[in-house]
Amino acid sequence: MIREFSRRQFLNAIGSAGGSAAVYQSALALGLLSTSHNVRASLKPVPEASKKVILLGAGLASLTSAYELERAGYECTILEASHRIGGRSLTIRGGDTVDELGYPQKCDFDKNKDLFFNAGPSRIPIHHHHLMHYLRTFQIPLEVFTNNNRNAWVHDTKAFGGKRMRIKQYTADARGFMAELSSKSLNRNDFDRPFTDNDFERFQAFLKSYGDLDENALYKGSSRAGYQSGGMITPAIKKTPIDFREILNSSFWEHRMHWAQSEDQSAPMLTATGGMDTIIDGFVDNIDSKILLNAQVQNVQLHEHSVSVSYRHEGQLKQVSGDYCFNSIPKHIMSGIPNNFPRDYQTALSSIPRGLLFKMGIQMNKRFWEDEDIYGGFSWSDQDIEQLWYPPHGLFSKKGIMIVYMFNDEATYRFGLLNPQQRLEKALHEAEAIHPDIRKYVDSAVSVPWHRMNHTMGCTAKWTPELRDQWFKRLQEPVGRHYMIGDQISYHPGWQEGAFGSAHFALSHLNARQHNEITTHVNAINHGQGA
Amino acid sequence: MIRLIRFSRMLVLSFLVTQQTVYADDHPIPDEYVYCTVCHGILFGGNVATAAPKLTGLSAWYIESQLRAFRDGLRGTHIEDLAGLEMRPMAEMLSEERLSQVSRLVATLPNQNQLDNPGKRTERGKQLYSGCGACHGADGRGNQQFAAPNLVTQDSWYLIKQLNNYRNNIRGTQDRDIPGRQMRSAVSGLESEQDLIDVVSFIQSMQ
Repeated sequence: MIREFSRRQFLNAIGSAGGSAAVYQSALALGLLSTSHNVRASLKPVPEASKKVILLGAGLASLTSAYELERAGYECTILEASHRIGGRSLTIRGGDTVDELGYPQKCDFDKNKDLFFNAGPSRIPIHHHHLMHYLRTFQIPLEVFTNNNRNAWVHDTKAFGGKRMRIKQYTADARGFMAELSSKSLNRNDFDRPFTDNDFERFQAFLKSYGDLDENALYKGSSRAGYQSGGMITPAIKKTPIDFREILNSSFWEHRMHWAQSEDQSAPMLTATGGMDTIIDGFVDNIDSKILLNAQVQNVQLHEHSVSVSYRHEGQLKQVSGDYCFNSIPKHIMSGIPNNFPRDYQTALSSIPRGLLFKMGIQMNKRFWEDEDIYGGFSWSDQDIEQLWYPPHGLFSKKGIMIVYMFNDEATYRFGLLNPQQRLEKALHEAEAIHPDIRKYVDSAVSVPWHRMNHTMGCTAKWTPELRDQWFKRLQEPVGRHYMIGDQISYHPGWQEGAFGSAHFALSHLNARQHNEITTHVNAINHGQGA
Repeated sequence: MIRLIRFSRMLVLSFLVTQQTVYADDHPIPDEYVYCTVCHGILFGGNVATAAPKLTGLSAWYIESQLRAFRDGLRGTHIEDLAGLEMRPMAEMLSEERLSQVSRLVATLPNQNQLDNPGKRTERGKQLYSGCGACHGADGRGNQQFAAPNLVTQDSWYLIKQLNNYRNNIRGTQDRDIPGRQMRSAVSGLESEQDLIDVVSFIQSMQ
């Protein structure tokens, strides 16, 4: 008799063998559970305007918090020290001011919908579920972002005589050589049971396929590298493989080659059509809370039942009080703002180093990269400029904004010290190794070293494992009625999803204590004194 | 006994809290200098996280001399001195008039007495300081005649950092920086990290 298991019975059987985790994973696989992610804040309502929350900073963490709090009946006030809303979610266009300390700049790009520069986040990983949730909620127009273009260039000062190489050629030849070498060094006797003869044959076949080897398991070049010529109306001629030692000499394989396979960089990625600040607009259009700009916080005082915040606005010192405070001021700036925080909390704020990050947008009067079959993505160099981006939008139009992006601390340090003209000069000097004629296409440039931007002075929070152990929980938990938020209080600093995650953590904490006030209260006081 | 300790600890805590409760109400900073407070702290009380020193407690003449030093490239040129390099373009932005004005303004702000890490006063510290007193004064409060600033109101992290900058030829290397060059030779008596801690603890004990 054949007994048919229902899916539910099958799960029960697995559950008894593998525990609940096994059931959960299997249930996902069988489609019994919804795979939608818990991205809703689900705050219980409070009587309209009975509770007040002061939010410091007008970046995504504060905007999200205000959006959710408003819907639950909380009254919110947002104070922002700078002249604009959005924090590091910044899109720069012609006419905009770039408020860098020491080198204030004005952007001279042409006024055109495609000529913008996302100086902060610009790509959206699809597994960043909070972000995707809000994009869907606000119906933000999106398009695919090309984060990996195999037609773009690898440049390495220590390999290929400093000549640029197509990423596809480098990758295909590296894989080909690796597969050939592996195949040659394979010895059937090195494999113990249960590696069978069949497994061994399959593995040989795998290597041939992986490296595009010929029938003798030798690498003789591959169409994956792009043809030398032909392939349409004349026979295709493969490129001659590059010398493997040159590949070994280069540094591209150290991390750049695998960049687009990392969790947050893999295809497909998305971006907001017309600039990432449309996400900020989405929030601003959907919240009613007061947002005060040019309102620099002067003092934060914790009280037993409230938090009061002094700020300067229009030449006057003002004060506002709330039942709670959500604070997304960069921790390294907050540590210079007078407060009555417990000492260890203040120490925590000043102990997490600020990171360095640099981006530059250059308006080019010709999309010369399209003549090289490059549409979006970026080229790599082992020089300080690291990534040279080609705009994925506005294809075939006249002009485009190229971006220089670097995240290597030493390179960023060097660039940040220069004045804007010197930065452009250095970037062009290095970029000439990839595009020899690049100078003749330059209209103008703006640069954004995030560690020198007014009211920001850093990106990203430099948590080490030791600092995480010592301080992360302390800063993630509230002190009294004050919550630090932002990507800085997350395991994903430098990403919008980190800001959302941190805001949602604080929101659910607030929600729980608001509806269980007495218990939380006692805890909060103990928390403060225990420092 | 435990109760007594807990009580005294609470006293210390409330003392600290009172000390930190300094409002900006009485000392408005003009709009054109607000950007200074982003790094140096709202009341110019310094911020170790941005590596910007406390400026309250310093005399106008010293603040002005250092702004000039940054502007003229006597400070903030060494590749390892990030904070100095960040400061230089800020000083370059200031006109002559503004440079004097902001120095006078900052000198009028109330000193914030709380120091970051007052160490123990030791004999070794006192002995090490004896050479410093000639310029900085036996009380550590500085002497304009020798271009020597007040030290006793400064946080230890900054004093130690600057002593190390002199020791490592990061500061005081320029020919035109006469006081800086003197400091560079003066620090040769400080041989170890412990020496730095001892001398700085002694300086702070004079407050």
